[in-house]
Amino acid sequence: MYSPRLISYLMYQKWSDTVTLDLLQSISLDSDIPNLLIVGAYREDEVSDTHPLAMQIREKEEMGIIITAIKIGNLSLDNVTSLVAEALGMEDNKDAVKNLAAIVHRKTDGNAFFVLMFLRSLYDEEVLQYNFGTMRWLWDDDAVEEKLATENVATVLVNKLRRLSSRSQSVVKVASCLGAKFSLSAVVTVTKSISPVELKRLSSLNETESESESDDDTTQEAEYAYGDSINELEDEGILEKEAKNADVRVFGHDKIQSAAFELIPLSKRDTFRGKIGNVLLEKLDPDKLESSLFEVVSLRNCSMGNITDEGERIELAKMNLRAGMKVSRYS
Amino acid sequence: MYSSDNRLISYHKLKASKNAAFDSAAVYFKAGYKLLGPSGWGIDQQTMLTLCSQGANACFLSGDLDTMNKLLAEVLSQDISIQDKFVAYEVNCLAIYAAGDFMGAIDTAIDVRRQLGLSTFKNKPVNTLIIIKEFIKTKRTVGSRTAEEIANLPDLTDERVVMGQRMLELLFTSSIDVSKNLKLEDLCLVK
Repeated sequence: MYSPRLISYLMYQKWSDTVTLDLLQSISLDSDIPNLLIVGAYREDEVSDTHPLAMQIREKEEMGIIITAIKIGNLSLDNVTSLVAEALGMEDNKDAVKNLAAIVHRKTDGNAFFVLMFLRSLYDEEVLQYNFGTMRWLWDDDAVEEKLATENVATVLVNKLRRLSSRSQSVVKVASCLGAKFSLSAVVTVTKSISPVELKRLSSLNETESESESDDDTTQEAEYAYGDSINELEDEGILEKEAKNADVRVFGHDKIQSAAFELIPLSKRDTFRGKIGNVLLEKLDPDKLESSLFEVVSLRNCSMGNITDEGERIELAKMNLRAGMKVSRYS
Repeated sequence: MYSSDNRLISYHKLKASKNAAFDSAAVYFKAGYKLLGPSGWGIDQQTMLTLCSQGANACFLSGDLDTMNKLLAEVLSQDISIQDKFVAYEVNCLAIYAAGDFMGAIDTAIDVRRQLGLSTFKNKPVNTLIIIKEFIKTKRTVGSRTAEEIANLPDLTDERVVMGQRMLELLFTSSIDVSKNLKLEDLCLVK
């Protein structure tokens, strides 16, 4: 019987680059490593037929390497019922959560992440409340149904972010422009370098409101500890720490990053990203700038249409040349 | 320069999926080109030349043939040296080869060698006796040198000759495809 001695589990394989995949290929073909089981996870809709991962899977199959595809799919109604019952401490009385679970399942299609986010939003909006008298969770099915009639999961995420403090919203907007995985110090550098008034003007729809609002807290915010915002975002499950690097944070889910990005009005996104790129160019030391070259250039390119100064255009063109040459060398 | 055809697109899809990094590289080169605009050659010729040449290469490898052609046309229409145009010519040659026009690739490579001022030959069939004669000449030149000895020969430093050798590589590859019945040794007639 096949009994693996070494099991390797790899998540988010869609991000794998060709070098990593080649290494994986080399390991999987190494006859000195017997009984190796590699488990990879990826979302089917994010790996097309021409994705390097899909190509390598085909190559391995042609080589006779045994590959077993296990389609996870979404949670069934029974699964969601169990999940909701467990989340509410009602495992012994699943019938009591049956209606709630059915509504949640219907709206979220059983996507595990969405189910949890949805339950959390019900709690945040006090549709789901804990009663200390009866020591149990209470909710009104009609209220849940009513809420569901107007909100899809994307809206739920955006609304959740809108409930954050204004500073945390600014932090999460900046972070969303830096990618699914980003350097915390880069976010802090940007948020500290742009005044709160400017930050809100650049990333909010209602400038008048935001400016008058920020006038009151400018001095406070000058001393604001950005760590509080980061903590808030981590507590809410919006950001997660990366185990290997204390400076790196990742969005809890790419849908959260999308929702955070959607907080920035469409008409201001390019200018906002360009501003972030310019700040990073100005503030990062040469080594950090080199390691963040692709991000900085990509951000600055977003607002290239607004550049009127010829010197700046030439300088950005040269940065693009450097970035292009650098990425070519990696291939 | 070459217009799109199915074979070329298939080739590029395969290459691009293997080398997705060139997609990103192409984005940067194109952005730099856009930033400098049509007047870029007058503003900063060297940056413009590298953006267009390397951009054409990245576009070739990522399958964006229209942009590749546009960038190649930019470089090849400039009043600059053949050495400056070399990368663009090389990409052009590869694109012609990838499209299956092996004879066209040979013609282009011969033309580039001629522009570099290197000895070359005409692209026309030769009889077997000439092939054998040139083969013997090559064999004598190599003599009893071992593979290690050949590998340890000094590196070429003359940029012009290096470029010419790179064109020879393309000539070899295209020649094999043109005359499938030729043996590799026969191709040693190329000086």
